[in-house]
Amino acid sequence: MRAPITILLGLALFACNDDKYIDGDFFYLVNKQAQMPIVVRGNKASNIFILFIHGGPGGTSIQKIGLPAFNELEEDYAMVYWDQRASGSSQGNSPDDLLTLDQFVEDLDKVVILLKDRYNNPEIFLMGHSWGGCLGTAYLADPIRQSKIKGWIEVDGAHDNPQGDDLSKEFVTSYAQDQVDKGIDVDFWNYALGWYEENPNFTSDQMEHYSFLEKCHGYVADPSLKRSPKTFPEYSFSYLFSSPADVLAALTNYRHVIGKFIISDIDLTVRMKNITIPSLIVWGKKDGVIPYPMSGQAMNALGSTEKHLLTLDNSGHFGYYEEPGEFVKGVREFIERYK
Amino acid sequence: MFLLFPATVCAQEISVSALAVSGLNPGLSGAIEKDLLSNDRYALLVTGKTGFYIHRYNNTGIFFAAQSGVRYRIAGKFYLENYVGVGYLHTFLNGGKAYIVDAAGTVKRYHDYGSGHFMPSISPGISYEVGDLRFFARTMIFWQIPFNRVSLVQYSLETGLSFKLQFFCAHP
Repeated sequence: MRAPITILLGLALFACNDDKYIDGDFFYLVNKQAQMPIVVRGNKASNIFILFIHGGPGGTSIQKIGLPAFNELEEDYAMVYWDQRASGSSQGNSPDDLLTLDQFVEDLDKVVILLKDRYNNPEIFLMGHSWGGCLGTAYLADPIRQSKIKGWIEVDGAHDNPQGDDLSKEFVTSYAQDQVDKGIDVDFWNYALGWYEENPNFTSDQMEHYSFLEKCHGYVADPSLKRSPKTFPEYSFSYLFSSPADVLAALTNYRHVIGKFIISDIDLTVRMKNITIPSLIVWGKKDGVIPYPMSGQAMNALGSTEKHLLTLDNSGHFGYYEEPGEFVKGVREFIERYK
Repeated sequence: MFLLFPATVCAQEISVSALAVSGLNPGLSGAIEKDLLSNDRYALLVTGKTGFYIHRYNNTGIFFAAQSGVRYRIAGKFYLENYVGVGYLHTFLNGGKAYIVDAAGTVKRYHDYGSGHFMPSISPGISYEVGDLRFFARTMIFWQIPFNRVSLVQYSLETGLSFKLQFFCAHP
């Protein structure tokens, strides 16, 4: 009898570690059959909130908690981690026909309203990464919504998917041809080149492209980073199994959303002229997912007169993992200037 | 409940077990069991099972399930067993208050009465018999349907103890 009790107590103690992980406010936004968790951590007294919009679609913010870059930003500001509908740790039964850009924008607006209501009408800076860059852009393209936001930080954002995909394909095929020319893993890279010939207009649910990208370091420029749980906690055992995130649910959500919500044809470039608030464009120079030339395209398209580019020379798609020091320095300078 | 129920359905074993849903999130489960057919090597079983688990900052689940299973004696007092069944899972948001924002932009509290799910399950495991007691360890693989319009596969590690109830029913 002692063994089961010991195991149960052990598990209960292990589960209690989740408090350390949250270390802030935790609540849900419920909207149209989606139950979306929100975590607010850090320096709430600053009344400056950075609302992180995760990638995907179908990714997660909750599993970004604890990243060194975000921990550092939390010393000065509050960080808001929101898992979008049918994404990450979100629950409920979100209908497939609501997996649309308009619906995600509506959800984001309700998160902003909820934050302003629950706290002391904070100054909100939106930080959108990858697909979050697309969602944030769509949100800010409307002047009424934009008036609720103090500044925009786009991190390797997917505001123009057709062009981004073309450049990403070019990134992989150049790498593949280079490997073939050098005689490295020739069969595999020839297969990759053949795949692009057969799928010239691939969509975001065709995972082959992303597996090629992974192999040519298009996500993370220095793959050795992933072996360090401190630098890249998302890949560590404790991160996967001692956080409130449900790993199986997150994977299930991701596979579902990526298959149902095709974003490959979304191009918001024209609407970017409506964004007139201060903006910071952050891009990894070695990004293969949404390659670096897209940063210049964003700078040209934005309507803001207060726009800045932060180039992370040694980063791929995840500058906040790969060069946290430079990332935090640039974000902090931007917020301090425009808060 | 478990003390009364076996007497009325003539259950032959009653069990309690500790759960670890997703290998981590603690819970408790109880079951009653009856063998429909058995010989010295096999037993065909039916069980009624209930339990709960807590996944902090995610959900609290309460479930009821009916399962049918087979127990096979592999050697001495060691058994292999497997159950399949269907059940009902009710989940509640855990860890924080929930809010809605209406069309006018007014924030209101959301009262969570939970969400219902169909819950098929498979539970393979092993057990060891000592007199009227049986120690067991199982994995319960279960489906949470619906979950964002798909089915979510979950697993639970389970370890516990069964007691034979010869006082209530004689073995066939």
